[in-house]
Amino acid sequence: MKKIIAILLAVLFVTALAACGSKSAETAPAATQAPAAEQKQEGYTSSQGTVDGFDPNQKTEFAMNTSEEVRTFNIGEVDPSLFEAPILVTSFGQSADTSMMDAIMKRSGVKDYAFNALAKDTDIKNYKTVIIVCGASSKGLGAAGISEADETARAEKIMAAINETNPAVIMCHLGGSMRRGVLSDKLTDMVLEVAKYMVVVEDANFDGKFTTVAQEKNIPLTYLYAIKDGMDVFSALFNK
Amino acid sequence: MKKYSYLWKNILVLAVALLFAAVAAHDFLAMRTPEPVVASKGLTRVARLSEYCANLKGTVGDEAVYVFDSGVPGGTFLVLGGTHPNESAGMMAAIAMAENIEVTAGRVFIMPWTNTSGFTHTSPLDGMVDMFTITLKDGSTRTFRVGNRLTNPVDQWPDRNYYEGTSGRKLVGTETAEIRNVNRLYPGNENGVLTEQVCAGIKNMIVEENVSIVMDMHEGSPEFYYLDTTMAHERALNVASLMAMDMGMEGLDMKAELSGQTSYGLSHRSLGDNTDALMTLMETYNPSMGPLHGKMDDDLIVNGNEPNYYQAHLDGYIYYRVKENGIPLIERIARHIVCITKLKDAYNLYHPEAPIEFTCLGSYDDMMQLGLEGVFKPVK
Repeated sequence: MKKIIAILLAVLFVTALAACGSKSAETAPAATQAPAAEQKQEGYTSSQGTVDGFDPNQKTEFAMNTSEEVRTFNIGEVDPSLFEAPILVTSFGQSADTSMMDAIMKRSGVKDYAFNALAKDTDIKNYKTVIIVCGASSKGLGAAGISEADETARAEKIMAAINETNPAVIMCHLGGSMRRGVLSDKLTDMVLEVAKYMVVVEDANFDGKFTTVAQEKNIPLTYLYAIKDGMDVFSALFNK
Repeated sequence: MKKYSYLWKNILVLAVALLFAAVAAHDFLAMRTPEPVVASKGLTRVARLSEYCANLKGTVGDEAVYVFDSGVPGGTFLVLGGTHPNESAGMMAAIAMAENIEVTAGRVFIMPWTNTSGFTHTSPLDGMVDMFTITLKDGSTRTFRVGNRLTNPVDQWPDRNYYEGTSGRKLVGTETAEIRNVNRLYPGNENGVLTEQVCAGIKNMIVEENVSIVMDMHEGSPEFYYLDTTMAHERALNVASLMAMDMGMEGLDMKAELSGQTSYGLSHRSLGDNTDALMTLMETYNPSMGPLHGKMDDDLIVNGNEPNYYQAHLDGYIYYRVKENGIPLIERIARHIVCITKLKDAYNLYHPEAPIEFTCLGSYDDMMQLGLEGVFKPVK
């Protein structure tokens, strides 16, 4: 009799536990695991992000000039007359920030501009102003079907064309600290050699890079608190 | 005599065990009852996912699809809530939309419980609550479930040690349980496990109904980098970027980000690659999902206020700009609905040939003013 009752109790407790659900089924390691290389998955998941060159848990000490209240902050004074239509918006690094720049231009009501993230060096001669959105994205490069080397080569050719035809160049960095990896900085530095104006979402300046360049090269710089603050900046620049 | 004494003691223990089992069973079975939806007048019909994947007939995966057809030719917007049932704002925003939407061109499909099975259990070792209650304007209450991000093992078990499905994603090691994650198995398999069948049903629905654009609503823990971010398939990036800009103009931070080429099985990648729909996925902040959260209760779910995360942000350990008083559920619901509305506007700009027009609860400020008590309708 005791054995029967004990068995019944055991069954009941197991049933009650199952009714509550069990985490163990979700976390138990697999008995057989594939090699580590096979487990590696690129791209984002809800539980793990892969961000080039930026550790979101890294503590940053720099003081921001912009804030919820102060949406933009200028270093130096930009001369709008330098920037004439037609305008080309292109990308160095193929990040999604380039598409955000396109949205800025659309919503700013700028008419005479072309958007081509994969513009070629031969396109440059057709424009008086070239806006280059800097920031490397492995996702963007993958979507465009090109490698880092391809993108670097394209950027170098465009820079050569710029040096030849001399359009006014605006360097945009809209991706914040997330777009401060090795390739992003390499592409950005190429543009800073010829830029007449910089527009930067300020948290990308956590190491003072852009402030230093603005002061050393005497390039006017506008810091944005968020990407959307670029609308007022570009509207004022192009809707003269 | 002693023999009978033992017998009574054992009967008493058995009775107590039965009592516990009955209470647990009651709680467990209560989670199988879906939340009532007081659908808006524009509801055309409630479709079932088995219409698009016959194998789902009679299973927990035969999910409800609220169809709002304006009768005016145009595009079709599919709204997915509750892909991960522990990300409450997704389901809540979907139900709020189903209760308040008015469609004037094209069609809107709304799935409040994209993983129905996931709503039938919780993560007890995470200290999760199973339900929370809100009080409406008229004093009545409504109760909503907080489920688990994965399909209930009662419905799909065991997890395999190695799995490679239609998406190309390999589930091994710590990812084996993801075979019960709807957002890892797209485009699905009609003859696969339950979660794959659900994914196949959604993919087939998108194809058969010629869905133009999809929003898959999610939430993330405060540590997650892509909060207030819309992931977009490359074909949807221009629409998502314009939406993000328009949200910014209303003072709502939003970023658009490209879907990873190898984000296999996720909706924005694998449905984007396997259908013509413009795929997007948005994440809002949910402090109940992170390891620093304190007591898990209605207050944390509804008010979204976790001081530990505010302090972590002040100390520079959380990139996300956590607010001092948290981010309440109504704010996250409003953000999702405004995002969908702005996405529709941006879609219309690029695709005037197949417009989608609807209104739903007005602006972000309107929804904040209404509060949860005004956004949801009393159940009669």
